[in-house]
This record gives sequence, C-alpha cells and structure tokens, in this order.
Amino acid sequence: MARHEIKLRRQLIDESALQRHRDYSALLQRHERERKRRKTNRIFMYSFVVVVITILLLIIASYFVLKWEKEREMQKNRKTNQTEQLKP
Amino acid sequence: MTEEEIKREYELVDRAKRDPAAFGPLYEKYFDRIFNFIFTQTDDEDLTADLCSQTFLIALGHVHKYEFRGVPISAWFYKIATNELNKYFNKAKTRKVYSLDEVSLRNLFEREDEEYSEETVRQLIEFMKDLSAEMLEVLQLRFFEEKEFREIAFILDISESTAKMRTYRALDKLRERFNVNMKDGKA
Repeated sequence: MARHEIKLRRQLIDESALQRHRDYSALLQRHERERKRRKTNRIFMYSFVVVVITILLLIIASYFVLKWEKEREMQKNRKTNQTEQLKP
Repeated sequence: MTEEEIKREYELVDRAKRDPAAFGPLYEKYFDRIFNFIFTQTDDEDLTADLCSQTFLIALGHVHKYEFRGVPISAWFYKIATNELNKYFNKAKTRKVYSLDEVSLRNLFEREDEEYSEETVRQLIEFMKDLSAEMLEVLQLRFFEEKEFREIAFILDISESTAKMRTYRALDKLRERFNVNMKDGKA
C-alpha cells in the first residue's frame, strides 16, 4: 500500500469558494476570544498557585505553632511537677 | 521576492505586533495561497477551511514573537500550515492526500519542455506514490509553490543543503524512471 494518495484535480478551486472562506473579521473575533480565554486561564492558574502556596504556608506555620505550644505546655508541666516535689 | 519587498512586509508585521488589525493585509495577500497549499494535501474543502483558519489564528496569536530571518512572512505561514497538516494527519491516522491540479502540472511540463500527455501524468502519479513524504513535501514546495531553497529549509525546519539534497534525489529518481530532463531552474 502506498504511503500517501496522489490524485489529479481537473479544476482549480474556484474564486467563490475562496471568497466564502476568506473572512478576516471572523478571524479577529476568534483571536479576541482566544486571547480572553488564555488570559482567564492564566489568571486561574496564578490564583490556583497562590492558593496552593498559601495553604502550604498555613500548614507549615500551624505545624510550628503547635510544636511550640506543645513544648511550652511540657515546660509548664515540668515546672509544676518540680514545684510540687519541692513542697514539704 | 526582493529584499526590499521582504522588508516592507516586515514593517507590516511590526505594526501587527502592536495592532492585530494591521495583520489584515497579510491575511488578504496570502489567504488564497495557503488555502490552496492546504487543499492540495487534504482534497477536502471544509477541512482545508478549518486548517487554514487555524493557521492564520496561530500566526495572529504568535505574531508578537515573530523575528525576521531573511525569508518572506509567507514562509512562516507555510511552516504553520505544514505543522497543522502534520498534526491533523497524525491525529486522524489517515493517509496524506496530494492532489495535483492539472493546470499546475501542465504549466510545469510546459516550463520543462516536456510533452504533457495523460499517460505521462498517470506514470508521474504512480512514481510519486513511491516517493517518501519528505521528498514529496520538498518537490511540492519547490515546483508547485515555487519556493527558494532557503524558504523550503525554513518551512520544513531542515538545512538548506538537506532541502537541495532531497530535491536532487527526487529529480534523479524521476530521471531514472522517465528518462526526462526535468531541470531545477531556480537552483
């Protein structure tokens, strides 16, 4: 089987067909729509990245805050125990 | 196309970078050529209209990135059209169709002082079926679209020497088969 098909066209594509498909204003409108779609996508992607980064930062921050509070609690408990032991 | 014409066209491109409406004259100038170029490889008017519109849409969307490389802007349109065609055929998994129009073929034969007959054309079509897609692309751009080698190189993303080599190899094969003296007048 041949890799491609070769055909012989008896006629050139006529001017009216070309005229029917040639529409610069439609192309400009499509371009404008594409541009807006790309812009919206970009805004969505940036917002998504910002939200993800914020959530990650919040998770990291809350981890350290919890850790710090836990240590403070432990220190407080240790102090209370020591005071109780020193009581006669 | 002279250097002066290429530069004048580039000024239009430069304006289109700031204002998409300035792209209009380029679209009007090259629409027919690009449409016909795509049509010869699809033989389907609606599909051609879609691919042609997509070609100019991509060009308009990327015109701000276009850099002058010493070739006419049309070479860039041909390059985008070729990419869109390849993308379509890869996706559709169908065989590429090259539809040669009789008028261009007759002109080519007359230019090369060869006798145009139904039998020769039939043989030529059979011969072309056996050529690789790369060779066909080069032959089409060289003889039907009348592109220079540096434009062919730019369109197909190959070196100028590769474009020449592919053309001459295809012509050698043609000579072996037909015993004709089809010359590459623009070399």
